[in-house]
Amino acid sequence: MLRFIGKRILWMIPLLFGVTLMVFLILHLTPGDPAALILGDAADQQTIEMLRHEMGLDRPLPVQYLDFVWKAVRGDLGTSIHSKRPVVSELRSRLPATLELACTALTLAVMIGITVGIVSAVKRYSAFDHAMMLTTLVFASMPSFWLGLILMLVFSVQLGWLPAVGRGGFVHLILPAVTLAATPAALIARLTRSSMLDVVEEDYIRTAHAKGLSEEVVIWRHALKNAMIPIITVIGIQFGGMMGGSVVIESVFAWPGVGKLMVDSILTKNYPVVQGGLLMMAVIVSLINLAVDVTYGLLDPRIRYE
Amino acid sequence: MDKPLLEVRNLKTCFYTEDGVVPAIEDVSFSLGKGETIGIVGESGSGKSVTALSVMRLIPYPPGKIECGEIIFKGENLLAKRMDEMRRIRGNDIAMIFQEPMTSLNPVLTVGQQIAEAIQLHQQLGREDARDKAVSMLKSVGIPSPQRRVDDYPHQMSGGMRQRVMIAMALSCNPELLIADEPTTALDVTVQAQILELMMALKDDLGASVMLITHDLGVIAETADRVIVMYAGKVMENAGVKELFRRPAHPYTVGLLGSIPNLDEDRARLQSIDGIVPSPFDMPKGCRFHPRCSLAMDICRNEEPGFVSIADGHDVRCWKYA
Repeated sequence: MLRFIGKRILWMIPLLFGVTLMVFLILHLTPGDPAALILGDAADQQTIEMLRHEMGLDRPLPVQYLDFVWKAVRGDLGTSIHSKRPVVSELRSRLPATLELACTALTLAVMIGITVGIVSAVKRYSAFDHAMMLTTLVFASMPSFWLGLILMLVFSVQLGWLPAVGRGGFVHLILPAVTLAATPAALIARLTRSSMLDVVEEDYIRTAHAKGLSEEVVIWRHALKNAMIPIITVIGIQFGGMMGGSVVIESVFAWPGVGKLMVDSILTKNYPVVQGGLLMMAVIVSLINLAVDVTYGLLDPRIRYE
Repeated sequence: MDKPLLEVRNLKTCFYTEDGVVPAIEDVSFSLGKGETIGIVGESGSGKSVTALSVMRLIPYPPGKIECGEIIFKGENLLAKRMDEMRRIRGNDIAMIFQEPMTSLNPVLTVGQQIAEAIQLHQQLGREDARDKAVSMLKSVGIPSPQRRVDDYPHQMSGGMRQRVMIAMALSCNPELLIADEPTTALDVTVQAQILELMMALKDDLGASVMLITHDLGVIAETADRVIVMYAGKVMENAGVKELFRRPAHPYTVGLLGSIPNLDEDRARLQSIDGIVPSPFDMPKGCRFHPRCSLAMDICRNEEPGFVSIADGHDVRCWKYA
């Protein structure tokens, strides 16, 4: 197991090279000049050239890339063009907000999704099942920014129960977390239902019933653990998506997380922050995937890591 | 004779499918004395397994439903029991062994956990005691180093070993009735005999009765006291095992017996029964076997035969004897 984890971490190195290279190329080959953006419309060409030189932007691309990678390996992701603060500390100050939002949303999505999925499967074709399958279909297909705006309109603007924007205590967390959790919860619920329905057809479930076990024990002890394997995959993917994809939600709710930072940085071509942020996201998503793979082994003894 | 342990009377189980209501078994009656072994034989789709699952009340509902009849176990009608009463009987008084040892054990729980949970449930033993009992059950079914194997997962065992585990699980609460649904069909021939022998030896130790479902008449000859022959959801013949092999009455039984190879006889070809089991959606009128029966008469095509007793304890559903 430890060897497997070690090997997987080593594999992350070429992966991260690929990610950095792609991000670097996309940022540098798309039109738009950060120096021009910083200086504004009034600046003349000479001033812009000077700033470009100062920022090292006039060097050949391979040199700039290797410089970035070399520094990144030593934990230096450069300096934000606008705030002049190190990118690492920019990210570090934003990460807790994103983690807080993503973890809350994930917990919500998993709890609601799995419960709804199990109840739907157990009470297949019941009114509850039909209602839930329709509801989850709606949530799974709804754009999250739209849901966020609707929730904001109802609960903040009209009812005035919850704050619409910003980060603070628990009350600030509710709307963005619910919004971010809606689609994953719906997907997890639908998958849990179908996975459970597959599993309850299995012979060993019949064996469990033949032992005289109660329905609850059969579902929770015998069926769920088997049904969890595909569900864990989706939870992992969703969590990765939440970490990176909370970009939209963070913008809607003005949540001061990494996603919001990234959007602002992309708009201002603050490429050191974008590069650093994407690198960090890639590391986090890889680690989540690793955690998912390790969880498989904990759930299913037939999976061994060679 | 003492009061039978199990008496099934006029059992009818249907499945409600999109294409209509299908009776899987109809008018099934038999009884099983204490310590006795009854063999239920028939082709696939004859209703053997549905009969077994009906006794356990494990017919999945929907689509299946026991329509009518009585299942009297120790003087009480199981069909009148509530589900929680039924759960106290399952695994405790009546236990079941299934056909596929590969898929009948839960892949994510150790065999020890799976044996122990029935013990914990029915015998109110603690976790440690139940585990000790599981180890001794594994030992009694002949699993080497049970102390170690108790923590194995099913995939770490061979098919024969897993079926031993199933037997250990089924017998762990000393059931009075053991239902074995084709317990050896999925196993290697060499292992089949071992498993059967083991099952019957343990059954004798416990004094349990056995309902053995199989399509293998050889197995029946070796183990059963009585035999019921099922065809297309109905019991066609019911007789003591010696009587059945000596004087098979129903043309279907005769056909089944004729299809067994016999080394003592110099026969060029095995007999086969022409045709196939009728679809439950399209049951022939009259006797269900008549389209495949070489002796079919006019009456067989129009009217369904009832049971006729042709000897003491030997009943047959055939117009030939009416």
